[in-house]
Amino acid sequence: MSIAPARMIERPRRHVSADREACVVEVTENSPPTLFHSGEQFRLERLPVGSRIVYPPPPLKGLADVEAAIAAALDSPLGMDPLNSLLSPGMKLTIAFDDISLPLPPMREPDIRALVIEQVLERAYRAGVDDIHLIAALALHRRMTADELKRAVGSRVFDEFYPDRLYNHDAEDPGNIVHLGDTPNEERVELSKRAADSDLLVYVNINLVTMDGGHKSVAVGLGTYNSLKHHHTPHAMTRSRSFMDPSRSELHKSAGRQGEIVESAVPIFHIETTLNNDMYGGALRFLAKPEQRWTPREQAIFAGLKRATDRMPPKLRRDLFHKQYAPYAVTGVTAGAVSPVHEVTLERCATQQAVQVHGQADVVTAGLPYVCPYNVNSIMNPVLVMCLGLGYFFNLYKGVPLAREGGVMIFTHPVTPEFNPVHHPSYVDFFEEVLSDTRDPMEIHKRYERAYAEDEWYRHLYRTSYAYHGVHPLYMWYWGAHGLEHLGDVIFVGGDPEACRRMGFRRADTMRDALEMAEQVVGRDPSVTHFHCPPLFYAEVSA
Amino acid sequence: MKFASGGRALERLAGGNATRRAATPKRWRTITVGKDPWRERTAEDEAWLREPAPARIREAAQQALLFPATRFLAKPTVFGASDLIHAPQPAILAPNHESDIDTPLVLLSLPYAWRKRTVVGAASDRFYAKRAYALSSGFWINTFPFDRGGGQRRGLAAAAAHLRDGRNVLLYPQGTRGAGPDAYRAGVAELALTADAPIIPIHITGSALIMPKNRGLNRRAKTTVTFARPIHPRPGETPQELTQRMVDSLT
Repeated sequence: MSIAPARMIERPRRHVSADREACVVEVTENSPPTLFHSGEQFRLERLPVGSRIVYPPPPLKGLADVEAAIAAALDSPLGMDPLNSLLSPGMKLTIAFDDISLPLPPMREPDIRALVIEQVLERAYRAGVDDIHLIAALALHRRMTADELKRAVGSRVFDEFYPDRLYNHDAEDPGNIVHLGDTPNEERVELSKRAADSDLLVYVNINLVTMDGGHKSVAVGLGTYNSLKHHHTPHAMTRSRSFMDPSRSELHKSAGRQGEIVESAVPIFHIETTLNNDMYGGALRFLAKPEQRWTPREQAIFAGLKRATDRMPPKLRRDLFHKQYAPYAVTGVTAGAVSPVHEVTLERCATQQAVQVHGQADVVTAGLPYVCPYNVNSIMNPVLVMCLGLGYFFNLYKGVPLAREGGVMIFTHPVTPEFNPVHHPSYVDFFEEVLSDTRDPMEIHKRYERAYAEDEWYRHLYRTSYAYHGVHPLYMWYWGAHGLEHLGDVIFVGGDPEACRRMGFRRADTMRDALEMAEQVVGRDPSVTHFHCPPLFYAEVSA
Repeated sequence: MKFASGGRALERLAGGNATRRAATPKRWRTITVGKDPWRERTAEDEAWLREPAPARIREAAQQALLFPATRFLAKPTVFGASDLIHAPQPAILAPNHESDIDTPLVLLSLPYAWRKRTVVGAASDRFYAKRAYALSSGFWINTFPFDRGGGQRRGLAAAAAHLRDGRNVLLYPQGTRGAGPDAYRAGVAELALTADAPIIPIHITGSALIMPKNRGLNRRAKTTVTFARPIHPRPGETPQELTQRMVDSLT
């Protein structure tokens, strides 16, 4: 039975728990077709009667006065003195901030990072601090272009600091990396020299999912391959259940140990911000709503949108989609010491994103959208599709995975074997050379990681062009390691046959075919759950 | 499995899901050794286009569209057309062949009294591969299918039938475009000998620049169309000798 989704959207929300229950809806005979994202296209699919659909909770109301909230956070931080008392003339101040991979899609201006950085700078100037550097903490991601930096920090800050004092972190610059020590588990900690030598390191974060933030921000964002290689491994990934749940994530535990070393070497003033999940602007806001709630006008808009995107040339379609900016509202700003701040942030994330789901499913379906953290303003290649599906969507759970062990996940995505030659040069080689040889993350880790991480050409492209680090595609594959191990089969509806075969997945033309293929793996009349993401949320699944 | 079936209106409105179109080529590439047997003529002769009414429409269409366009592109200078008044009909018109524009050039150069009873031998493997081509060429330049090669002389037989019916036949003795002055074949001479019809050799210059073979429309150019004196086959003459006389008359 459908549990009254009718009351979900319009009613003023008083009890959050009531909304959460209404986020899980059962498919009846009269249910409308379900929206599936499929790259830069949309699909309407009919799900079997009795399936569950898990919808994201409606967006929370944003803060009424973001500026005031930032000021309040800087004035009364958690577990630290107010920012003003930490600033003194002649000190070395470094402000690091999250890179282009957050948030998704990029938020409309003003970016929350810009608002926070402006206030921090204002206070620093008032305190007489001159030596200020801004660093995009991008770890092994691609460098941000000048335009992207400008969007992130705002034009005023950009004009003043770029390019001498506002720049991208370079994890392969031997002269500007320091070794801070090793953790008890013999994990090497390397950091940007400028950040390590600073009298105060301010980190400005956007916590879009529970995986972000905390010690991961500085230790990973300003780290190097040598420090990342300890937790970006298939072992850590399969032992993170899931990495969206920091308390049960091997990745976060390792990053936390490294973060403590960093914290002991340089004082960190950590500022974390959370956003609501309002990722579609204006007329498209209904895409986040259950299909039953779409008004005739919204149905007509959707029909127009779908028909238009189906007929558009792919390149134009991609350009249009990547020009979309989300009207996210800021739901919280917290500052202070890393751990207490992150605790508050995780609670805020849960308020917006957590949905209780009882019981696992044999088959989980999901529509993969056009963007993941690693293809902003770029092309979603097959390796990134795998990472988005099995890395992110599979891991958006707390407790146990939404799909049972040996279950099947069905994604809709065209999986076009297309690569951006500037952003993803090593992905091409990974796809052609490594995946045609083996798909086992452990074996890839053993046999190929060193060669890709230390390749001079990839290193050169990472440092001087806009390429992801050579080892990045391997990390993407590791992110799906837990999913690959847990699931019985993965099916892509509408996927490119060659690309799916190369990655070891099956493909189907229609959802019905895919469900029949899934039945062969999990048995007749499987329980089906549709994970209606985006907007981003996670399921708290109890077995 | 039973599926949800509500929301039909939305589904109709939004259309079906995008499917991955199989990359099937529109035409399979034929791997052949020698001549492609499927490229033979499939369309038939459209004889009705030679009836009086279609012929009048053709004349109007030629005067209104085809000839002005040809004049614009080819800027022709015609020599010897007025002498045709004294030449006997039916006859075989035998121009050299450099380009597709040769046929309209010759037709526009002919006096009306000749043009109205002239049919053009068109290679059946090219102009009669599809009915649409057959209709189009039949309407614009009054063609009949001429089967090239094959040793069966079917094309020549069809041309002889037209000559018997009192029509002039335009045939290119070189058999194809751009074959060069040494490539005159004996087929036209053979036809003249068997049908006892005079040959009128025609020399065209400059047309190769306008529409070269396999290049489409290239550029405008000046052309000349020269009609030579009719050549009558002599009794006991071989086709080769007659062909040689024809070539000599052009130079």
